[in-house]
Order: sequence, then structure tokens, then C-alpha cells
Amino acid sequence: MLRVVVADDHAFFREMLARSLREEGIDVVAEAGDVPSLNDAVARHEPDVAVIDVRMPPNGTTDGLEAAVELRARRPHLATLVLSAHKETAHLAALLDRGRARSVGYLLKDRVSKVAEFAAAVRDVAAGRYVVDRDVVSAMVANRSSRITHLTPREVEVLAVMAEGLSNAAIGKRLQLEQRGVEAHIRNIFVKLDLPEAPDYNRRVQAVLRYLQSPPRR
Amino acid sequence: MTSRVGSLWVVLLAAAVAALGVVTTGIAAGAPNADPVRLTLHAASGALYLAAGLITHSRRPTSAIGLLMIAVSAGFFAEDLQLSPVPWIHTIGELTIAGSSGFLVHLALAFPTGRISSTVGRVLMWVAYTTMVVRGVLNALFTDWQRHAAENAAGLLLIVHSDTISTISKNGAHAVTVLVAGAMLLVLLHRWRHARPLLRSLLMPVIILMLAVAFVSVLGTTLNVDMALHDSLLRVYDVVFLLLPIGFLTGMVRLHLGRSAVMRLLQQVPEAETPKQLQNLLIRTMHDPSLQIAVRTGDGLVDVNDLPLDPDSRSITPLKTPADFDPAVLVHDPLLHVNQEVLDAVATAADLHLRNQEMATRLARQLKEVESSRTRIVEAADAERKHIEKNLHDGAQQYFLGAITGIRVAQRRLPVDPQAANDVLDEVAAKLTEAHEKVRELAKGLHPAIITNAGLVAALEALVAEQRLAADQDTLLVLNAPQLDRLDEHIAVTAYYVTAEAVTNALKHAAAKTITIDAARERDLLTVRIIDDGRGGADPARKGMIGIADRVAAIGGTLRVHSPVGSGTVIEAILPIPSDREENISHAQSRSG
Repeated sequence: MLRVVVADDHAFFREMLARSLREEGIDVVAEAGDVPSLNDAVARHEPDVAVIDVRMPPNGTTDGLEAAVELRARRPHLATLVLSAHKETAHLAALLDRGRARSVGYLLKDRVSKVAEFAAAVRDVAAGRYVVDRDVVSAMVANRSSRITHLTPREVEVLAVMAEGLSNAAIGKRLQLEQRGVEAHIRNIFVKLDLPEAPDYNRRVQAVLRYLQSPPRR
Repeated sequence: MTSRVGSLWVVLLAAAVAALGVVTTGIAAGAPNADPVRLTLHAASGALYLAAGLITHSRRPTSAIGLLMIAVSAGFFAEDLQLSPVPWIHTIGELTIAGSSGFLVHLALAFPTGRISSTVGRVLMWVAYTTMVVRGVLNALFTDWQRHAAENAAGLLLIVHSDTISTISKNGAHAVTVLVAGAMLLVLLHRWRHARPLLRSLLMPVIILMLAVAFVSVLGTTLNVDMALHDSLLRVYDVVFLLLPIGFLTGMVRLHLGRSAVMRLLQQVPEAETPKQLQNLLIRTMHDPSLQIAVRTGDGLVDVNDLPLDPDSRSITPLKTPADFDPAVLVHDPLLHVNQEVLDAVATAADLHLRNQEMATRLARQLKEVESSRTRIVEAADAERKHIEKNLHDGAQQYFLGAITGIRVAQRRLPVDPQAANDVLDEVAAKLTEAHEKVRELAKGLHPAIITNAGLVAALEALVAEQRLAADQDTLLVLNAPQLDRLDEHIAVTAYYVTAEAVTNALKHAAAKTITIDAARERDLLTVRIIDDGRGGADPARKGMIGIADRVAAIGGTLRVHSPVGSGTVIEAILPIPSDREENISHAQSRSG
């Protein structure tokens, strides 16, 4: 069974989150209300996944996010799923730092109430995939100027769906494109964003990251 | 009127003296062995005294100095009358042989005020006048000038020629004049030594010229010099004597400022940016280096550099500052009082300027206060929003998300384990009740809705009721508020916050046993007063206090905090209620908007 640590400072929300995961057959081995107890729980239980809220004590700013970044650096085998109350794309960039995008997820907190979908996302990151909230991706696309990256509107669409972590087949299905069309668009995106040769998966994350790091729209 | 008549009289006198000058110069020129250079110098001297006298008189008609100068001129010209071949004119000349000496001594001693203040000076003056008259009379009675030269006219008053009397008279008068002149110089030097800078600067040219005259006279009379040297010494004497009226005139013009100097001052005053610059300008204008601008404080006078100032024996002219300004004064040489109206004009100019600057400083200070209060209001609003956001995010949102998730969990449980589903829903319901309470609290903190719904009095009653519950059993809260007409909501809310802050402070920080709240409207003023018997010493710099002070200031009210340590606190807010007309306008605006 998948073993998960849940970290959020709001007790009631955390408890309901843990219950919904258990309802879906996921073993919540520990709950943490702040960053030190999260680190303790991870060290003691060595879970498969840590679900972490961005805003947590002691500072109540981005302590949870920073803890997640640190855990990812320290524990390559730990999958992390970060929850945010806001569509903050800068947090995503922090999580995708250096393009290592295995076993990471960034979802809006609202998604928790869709119990089955949320449990699926936890399983996805545990399986090594990366999951990004659609609304966060939309915000990211809306905030960037495509002129700077010279992407066509269609390519931006493809990149956005790619940023959610979808496979080529899933992208084609969502955008009603032929498989070959999707591949062509993705190649163009790689060229336009000037991405070096690398395994396909890494390049996809690099593309998202490069896009995130381009100047925001004025 | 009198001064104009007086002036006319002086002009006529001056015309007569000028005519006398023309006549005597003509007589002297007609005399045998007339020296044209000496003649010119003589005429110029007399004319210069006359002109200086007229100018001085026009500047300062009430001062004796102008008339004395004219008198010197007249006496000076009259001395040459004895050269006339006409007997009666010659006789006048005999009487006025020492015609200018008395006036000259008087002038030198009375300069620059026109009055001789020392007894020694007055004695010297009378000795000089007496000598002048006695010498003239003795000359007329006992000296036959035809014995000196046949072409001289015969004196009409001649009784008998007496060489003895003539010699004694001449030498005696000479000796007395030398003594008087010496004493006069000593008096002047003494005055100079004890004078302030202004008087020194006025006396300086006169003293130097008189010293030169004395030096030359002593050289000429005491040393037995030969004829040629005697003549050139006489020339020097004449030139120096010629310069004397210029020395007097310079001093008088410096002391008695003309209209143009005052006008120039008025033009330059706005350029002075600091009291120190203004002070320098006044020093330059009034020629008084001892002049200072000062402010009267509890500890005495303070100068422009905020240092204590000792007026010594200088005069103090107060400026007409309004009651709420620090009383400013001019400290200056008392000599400036001879020129009272100019001093008054200068004081008024200085006063206007200082007042202007004080106003500008106050305005700048008020503007700064408005700016910082505006900043504080914005910051307080931002802090409040941040607080609300945090409350909504950490409170309400988490409850809602938890509740939704809980309901979903319960839905899944329901077919399998209804009891477990029910437990979850119970928990959700309990938490939602908690959330509801928190949101209600939060909303009340944003705006006391009861003011809008039921008015200020009801809001204050609710506040008191709530605080009674929160406070110790033995704290007494008293509310005296008559039914107030419907108030402008800004004013009601401000009054409410002032009361809430004051009551909170009284309970939390002052440990008050009795708190009395008075709210009353008198015409267009709403007064809220909160009195407690706590330990006092309320800090007006506390954030809450600054917050309400800003609120009160923002609607044009005043907040007073009286909180002596150990004897309770009185906080009073007086809030202006806009007139009906303004209210109508604002209502009309809110309807249209």
C-alpha cells in the first residue's frame, strides 16, 4: 500500500484530507502541523509521498514550499505533492528547479475535495510522473507573452497541456490532434525555446520551466 | 502744518545765508591782497555747511543738527563782513569775528542726536558761545581796524582803541578756543570709547577730521614756523575744515535713513530665507552691527542661533506678533530711536516677514503631518486587509475545504458504513458552526453593522454590554448617551472606534474600576468623552491611539488625551457634523453615483 505523510497546519482540513486518502486505500502514516514535524515524520516513516501545504508555520508564508524543495533535494526517492491556495506560478518554478521533474506535483487545494481525482494524483507522483494543476498552467500561459518566446497560439496550447504532465497521446486527445501533429508541435517548441538534446521527458519539463522563466506579460 | 511752516522758515533762512555768502565772497574778493584759492575754499566751506544743513534738516526736521550746520555756515560767512569798506557792514563783521566757533563746538558735541547729554559738553558749549560773543563785542569796542590797514572801514561801535584789550581779547579768545577744542576732542574720544558700533561708525570721520584740524592748528600756532610753511598749513587747515561738513552729513545720512533705504529693505526682505539672513539685511540697512532678532522665551531672550542673548544696554523693540506666535523682538542700538518712524517701519517689515516664514513653517509641518497620517491610514488599512485575508484563508477557507472533503468522504461511506458516514457529517457540522462564528466575528471587526442598522447609541449600548461581560465583575461601565439624531455614518463610526479603543485601553492597560462614556451633540459638534479611574499615563504613541487620532483628524475633529500618571484618563473626541446642506450634497452624490 502507498504510504503518505500529510502536512497542513489546519487540523480539520488535514484530518479530512487524510480520511479521504484512506477512503481511497492510501495509507496515511503520519500527519504534521508544521515544518519540523513534517521533517520528523518523513525521517521516521520514510513515506512514498509527502503532501505539503505551501503556507505553514512557523512563518506562515512559504515554509511548506521551501520544506518540499529541500526534501526533494535531500530524498530523491520521495515524491512530493504541494498544495497551494493560490494560482502562484513562481512556486511551480521553484519546484521544477534544475529541470528535475520526476515525482512532483503542484495542485490547488480545492482539488482535495474531488477525492478520487486527488488520490489518483497522489498515485501519479508516487509513480514518478509530474502533475500540475490545470488552473495554474492557465495562469502561467496567461501571464507570459508568447511573442517573446515566438510560440504560435497552437504551440502555447500544446505547451500548456504538456505542462500539466500529460503524455503525447493524452495531449492529442485533449486538443483533438493527430499523434504526428502533436509531435511536430513539441519539436517546434523545443527548437524555439532553444532546448538542448536530452531525454524526451526531461526536455518537456525543461520547456515548461523555460516558459515559466520567460518575462511576464506587461 | 507746523513742520511745513518750519521748513519754509528754514528755506528762507538758508536763502538768506546763501545771499550772505555771495555778498561776503564778493567783499572778500574786492579786498586787496585777496588770495583766490583761500577765497574759493572759504566759499566752498560755507556752501558745504549750508547744503549739509539743508539736507540734514530735510531728513530730520526735528533735530537741531541741520539748523546748527546752517548757523555754522552763516557765522562762517559773517566773519568776512569786516573786510567790507561800508562802515555798518564792517561793524557787523567786527561783532561776528569769531562767528562760527560757538556753533561749530555746539554741532560737534550735539552730533548726531542734536542733544548734548553730558554736563561737561554743555559747559564747553556755553564757554564757546560766550567766548564768541565777548570776543566780538570787545573787538567792536576796542579795536580800530583802520590802524591795521588804512583801507579798512571805521567801526561804528569803536569807543577807544586799546592795544592791551585787543591783544588780551584776541589771545584770550584764542587760548580759550584751543582749550575748548582740546576738551571737546577729549569728550568726543571719550564718547567714542564707550560707544556701540553704530555710534562709533558715525563719530569716526568727524573725530578724524577734528583731530586733523587740531593737529594743524597746534602746529601753526605753537611752533614758530616760517611764513611759507604757515601759509601751506593754513591751506591744509582750510581743506580739512572743508571736509568736516561732509563728515557730519555722512553720519546724519547713515543714521537717518531715507525713504529709499526703507523701500530697498522692503524689496530685499522677501529674499531673506532665514531669520539670520533677515537679521543681516537689517544690520546692513540700519548700519547697526549690534542689531539682533530675538525671541522672548521663558528663560529670557534667544537669538537666531537659539543661543541665550544678553541685550546689555541695547534697546528692545517688540514686534507686533499675534498671540499664538513666539514673541519676537529687535535688539538694537538705542540711537536708532532718534529715527523712530523708520525703526517702526523696519520692525513692521521684519515682523511681516517673520510671520510669513512662521506660517510657511507651520503649513509645511501640517502638510507633513497630513502626509504621514495619510500614510498611516493607508498602512493601517493594508494591515487590516492582510489580517482579514489571513483570517479568511486560515479560517473560513480551510473549514470549507475540510467540510466539502468530509462530505465527499461521508457520501462514499454511506452505502457501506452509515454510522461512520454519520460520524464524519457530525464532525463537519460542528466545524461549520465554528467557522460560522469566526466569520461573524471577522465581519463585526470590519464594520460595526449595528451603527448602520440602529445608530450610534445602540452600538455604544451593545459595546458596553459586551465589555461588561468581558470585564471583571467589579468594573462599572456607565453610558450617558441621549438619543442622538441620525448622524453621518463616518462620524458615528469614528465615535464608536474612539469609544471602543478607550474602553479597551481602560480595561486592558489601566485596570480601571469605573468607566464613564458620555456622548452628546451640541449644534454641529458631537462630543464623545470616556473617563476612567485607572492608573493613567496612557501613551498617545500607542498604535491604537494613533489610529483613532488619525481617524478623528481625517474627519476634521480633535482628539484630546488627558492621562496623568496615577489619576485616571480622559479621552475626548470632538467631531464636527457636516451641515445639512453638505449632507444633502453628499446624499445627492451618492444617489447619482
